[in-house]
Amino acid sequence: MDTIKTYLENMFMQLPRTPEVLKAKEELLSMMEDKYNELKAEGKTENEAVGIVISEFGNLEELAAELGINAYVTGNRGQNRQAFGGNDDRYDQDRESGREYNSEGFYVTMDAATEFMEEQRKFGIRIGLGVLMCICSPILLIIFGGIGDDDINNLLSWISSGPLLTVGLGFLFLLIAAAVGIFIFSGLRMNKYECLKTEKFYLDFQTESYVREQQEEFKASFTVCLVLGVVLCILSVVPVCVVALVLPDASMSILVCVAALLLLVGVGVWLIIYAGVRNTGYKVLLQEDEYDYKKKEKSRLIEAVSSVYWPVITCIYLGYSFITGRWGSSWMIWVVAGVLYGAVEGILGGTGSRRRR
Amino acid sequence: MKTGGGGLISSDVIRGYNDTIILYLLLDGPSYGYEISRRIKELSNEKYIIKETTLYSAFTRLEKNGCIASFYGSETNGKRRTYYEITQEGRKYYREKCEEWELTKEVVEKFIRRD
Repeated sequence: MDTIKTYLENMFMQLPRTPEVLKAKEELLSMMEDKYNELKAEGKTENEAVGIVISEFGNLEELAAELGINAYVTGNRGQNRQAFGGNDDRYDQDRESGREYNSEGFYVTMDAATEFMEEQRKFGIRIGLGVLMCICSPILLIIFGGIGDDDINNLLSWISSGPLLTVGLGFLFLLIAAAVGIFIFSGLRMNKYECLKTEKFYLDFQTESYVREQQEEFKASFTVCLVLGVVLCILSVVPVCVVALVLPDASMSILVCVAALLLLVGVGVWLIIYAGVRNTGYKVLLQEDEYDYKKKEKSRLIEAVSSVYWPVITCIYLGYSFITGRWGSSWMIWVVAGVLYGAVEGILGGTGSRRRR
Repeated sequence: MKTGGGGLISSDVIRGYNDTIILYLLLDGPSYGYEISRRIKELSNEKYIIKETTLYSAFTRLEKNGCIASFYGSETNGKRRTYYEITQEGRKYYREKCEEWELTKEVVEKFIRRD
C-alpha cells in the first residue's frame, strides 16, 4: 500500500495545492485502497495487487482538465501515439504564467524524453573530453621542447631536437585527431534529436513533471560543476606564477607548470561544458528560454559559433606558438579563451532572443 | 482501451457514455468510488475496466452539473468514505442519454454489415 501512496504522491507533486486537488487526491487514494484490499482478499500477492492498482489508475491529464488547473494539458483524443514524427492537432489550455499556446507538432513519449536526457548527458561528457584533448594536445611538445632549454641536461638537449619533438608532435596530432573523432561521433549520435530543437513538440503531463523533477535535481550539480570549472580555470595559473616567482631560472619546471595549467584549464572547461550541455538538454525538452515553443524558428548562431570557437582557438594557439616559439607565454590564450567563451555565450544568448522578437 | 474480451472498445465512444454508465449504477441507490468501478467491470464482463482518474473526473463533472450529490458516510474503522447519489437532474440527464444512445445505435446499425 505504501508503494501506491508514494506513486500517488509523485503524481500529485507537480499540481498546485488547491482544495479541489487535495480532495481529488484523497478520494483517489481511497478508491485505490479499496481496490487493493479487495485484490488482496481475492488472494493476489502484494506485488500483483499493487501492480494491478497502479496499471489501472490512469493518467492525470483528464483529471487536471476537470479540476480546472492551468496546467499544460495535452488531452489525448485517441489511443494512438507516435513519438518523433506523428502529427496531431490538439487543443490546449493557457499555461499558469498566462502564456497561450497553440499546441501542434509531434508527441514525445516518456521513453523518448528519458532517452534524450541520457544521450545529452553522455554528449556533455564526450564533447568536454574532446575539448580537454584539444587543450592538452601540446603538453608533451611543451615539455620536450623545454628540455632543450635547460642548461643542465646537455645530452638531452641533443636528443630533444629530434625524436622527442617528433613524439611531442605525434602526441599532439593524435589527441587532436581523437578529439575531432569524438566531436564527429557525438554530433552524429545527437543528430536524431535535432528536431527537438527546431520543431514544435509537446509532452504529456507526467513526462513534463518528470523532466522538471530531473531538472531540479540537477540544479545542485549544475552549480557545482560550473563553479568548479571556473575556479579551475582561474587557479590554473597559480602553479606557473608560484614557480616563476620562486624559481625563475628553472624553465623546465615552469614548462611543467604550463602543462599543468593546460590540464587544469582543460578539466575546468570540461566541467563547464558538461554542466552547460546537460542544462541545455532540460531546457530543450521543456521548451524554455531559447528553446521556447514560440521561438522555434531561432537562429543557429550560438551553435555555429560554439562549434567553430574551440578549433579556432586551438589554431590560434598553435599558430602563435609555432611562429613565435613562445610556448612559455602562449598558454595565456587558453585562460583567456575559457573565460571569453562564457562571455560569448552570454552575448549570443542575449542577441539571439532580441533578434527573434 | 484495455479489455478482458476479444476486441477493443472505442475510447471516444465510451468516453461519451461514462456519465451514463455511472448514473445507471446510482439509479437504485447511492454508492461509492470503488464499488462503482467494480460493478462496471462486472457488468461489462471485464470488457471495460474504467480508470480511477476517469472515474473521479466523471464524478467531479457530474457533481458540477448537479446530476449527482456527494456525502460522507461513516465507516467502522473511522475512515470516511465519499458516497454519491443521483439527483432528479441526474435522472433526467440519464434518460436523455439513453434516448441519445438508442438513436445513435439505430443510425450506426444501418451502416454495419454482418457477413
